[in-house]
Amino acid sequence: MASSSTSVVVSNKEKENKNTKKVTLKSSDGESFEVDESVAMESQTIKHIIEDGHYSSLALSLSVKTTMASSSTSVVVSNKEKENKNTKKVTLKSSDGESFEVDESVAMESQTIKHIIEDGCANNEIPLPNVTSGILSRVIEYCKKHKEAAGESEPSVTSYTSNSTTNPLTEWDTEFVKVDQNTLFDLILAANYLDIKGLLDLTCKTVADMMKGKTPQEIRETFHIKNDYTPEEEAEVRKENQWAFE
Amino acid sequence: MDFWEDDNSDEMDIDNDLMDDCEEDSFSESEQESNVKRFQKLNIDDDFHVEYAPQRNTTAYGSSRCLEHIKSKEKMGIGDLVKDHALPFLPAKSICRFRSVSKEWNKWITNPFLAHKQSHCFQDISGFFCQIAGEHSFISCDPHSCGVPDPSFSFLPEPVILRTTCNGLICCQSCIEDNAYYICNPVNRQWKVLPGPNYYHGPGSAVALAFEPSALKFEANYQLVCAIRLADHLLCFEIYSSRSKSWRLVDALCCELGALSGDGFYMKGMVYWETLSGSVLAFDLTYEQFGIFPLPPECGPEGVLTKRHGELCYILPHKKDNEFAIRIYGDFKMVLKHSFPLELDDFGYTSGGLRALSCLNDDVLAILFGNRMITYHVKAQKVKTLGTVRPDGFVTCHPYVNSLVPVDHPLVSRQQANSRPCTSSSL
Repeated sequence: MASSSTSVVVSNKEKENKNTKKVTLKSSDGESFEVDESVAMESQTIKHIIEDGHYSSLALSLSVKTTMASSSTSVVVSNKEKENKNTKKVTLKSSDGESFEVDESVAMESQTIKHIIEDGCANNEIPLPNVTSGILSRVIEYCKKHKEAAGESEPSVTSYTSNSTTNPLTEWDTEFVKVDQNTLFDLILAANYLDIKGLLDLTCKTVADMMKGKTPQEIRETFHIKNDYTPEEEAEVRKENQWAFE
Repeated sequence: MDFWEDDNSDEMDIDNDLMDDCEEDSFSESEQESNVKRFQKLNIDDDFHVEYAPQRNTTAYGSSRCLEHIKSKEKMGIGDLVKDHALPFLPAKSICRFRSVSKEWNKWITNPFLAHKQSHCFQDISGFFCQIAGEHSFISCDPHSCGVPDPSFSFLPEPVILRTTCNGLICCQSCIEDNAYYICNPVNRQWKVLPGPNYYHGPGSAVALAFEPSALKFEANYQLVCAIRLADHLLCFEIYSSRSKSWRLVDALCCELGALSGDGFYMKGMVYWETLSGSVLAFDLTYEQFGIFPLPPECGPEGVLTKRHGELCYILPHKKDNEFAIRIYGDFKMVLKHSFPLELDDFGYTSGGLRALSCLNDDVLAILFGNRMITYHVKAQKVKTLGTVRPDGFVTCHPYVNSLVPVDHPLVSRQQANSRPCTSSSL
């Protein structure tokens, strides 16, 4: 390695977002560069330091000046960025003309979109004329969250110390459906149209909770259902199931 | 009750989920030949116009099945979606009430597919069947949405005592003659009497009903597991299977335990009985082996084995002076996992003490406080009274799920379903 005129200090910072572990590279003249650990490991030297665990405070002697350090890291960074850009994206277009670019894997949470992509017709935007931008953005949020959760290797931990269900995804789902009735209905329609079973079950379960204490007339009004019974027929059904009306 | 009158086997298109699966499989067949330029201009709807540029290796977005699939989904309004996808999450009483919403709703609700789907989708404890001195009553967790037409079991041909429940099915036993076992669902008043067991189930025996509603299997497959006392410290196990419609003695013999304290509890392929000496006899239905583990030393008749957070736990009320607390034990070692005080100041003094009944869901416990049945929301510390039981003796309380599960498969003939000549199910 080189003379002691320059030194590089490598320190490790664990970020809250565990998906991107960061590493700080400090050049000899004091400039710091924070990069993704995976990016920094393009350098075999730094890779060994990190792997050996000797990085809390280690001064490395490198005859590298700021400009060179920054240029090499910037090259490295841009290579990784290019790689990231290769994750396939699709564009979804809502009924009111707004476009949403999402990872293909996230969009494929929708069976409808999955079939369109697999049939090879998704080179252009995928138009979704039955879904407004407001609803589509929520649906995408749901798909992203559930795709993320599916990819995590960490199992949900049951802890008895807290009294709540500690599955964070369940709690997220509960918050997600705390919306007004019209939005909830639109989410059901969108989940059905886009064929996303998890979202359909979640929203329908929420509606079921809201329905269970209602009278048949209230159900008709809420969901715009026409009563096609004659009064005699309705009285007959009611009489057969009298216990259910008490 | 004419609940199952409609034979809707030709109306399978009501259940869109089944049809969807059929249609989706056909997509893979529509892969067309490659290297053919296609220009497709499609008018799907008057309002919806789709144009696609020339592409290689494409199958038309408008391959007709795909089109119809999406088109049929477009037609569905919120009412249809709620009927198909939300109803199965409701308890039986609400669903029966909604038969009067419209004729289409009535048709779907009386369709056996809906009953099957609901038995799988709805598994919440909806209330408790209480009995004392031959008298039965039902206390509902939510009287508007959960209930049964006849909580006295008068639809059965003879007087019975309630032995045990599981996921909407109830096991009763006749009080007279040969003490026959009945399996029934009080919602649809369907019942089945089991053939006599091969061994004598004397007073020291205990039963447990194992029933897991399945999304795939249409018929309710259940097992009645009986731990029979052969001698002072000798237990054997005889099991009735609804699939084989017969009794069978398993090889396992347990000679390590004294008396069992009551009927058992089923969870995730295992059946659990408490013993009077403070341990639990666990029987694995898959491997037909038993195991024994101890309950905490403070255990007693006021505690209960139940399910919380998907795991077996033991809930034990604890009283010191006039302060009440709940202790929850978990894991096979039954270690103390949690303990919290019960804020019951408004309820005043009670001489009856506390008895834990069940865990309704992860946050709510059902407790008998004197002769008052209450639910306690652990996080919110909220108490709600469900009802009262007779104060003059020990009332057994069995948790019950308001499920539409059929006991007698409506499409199977009576003769096929039952092996005994005079077993019948009322419709």
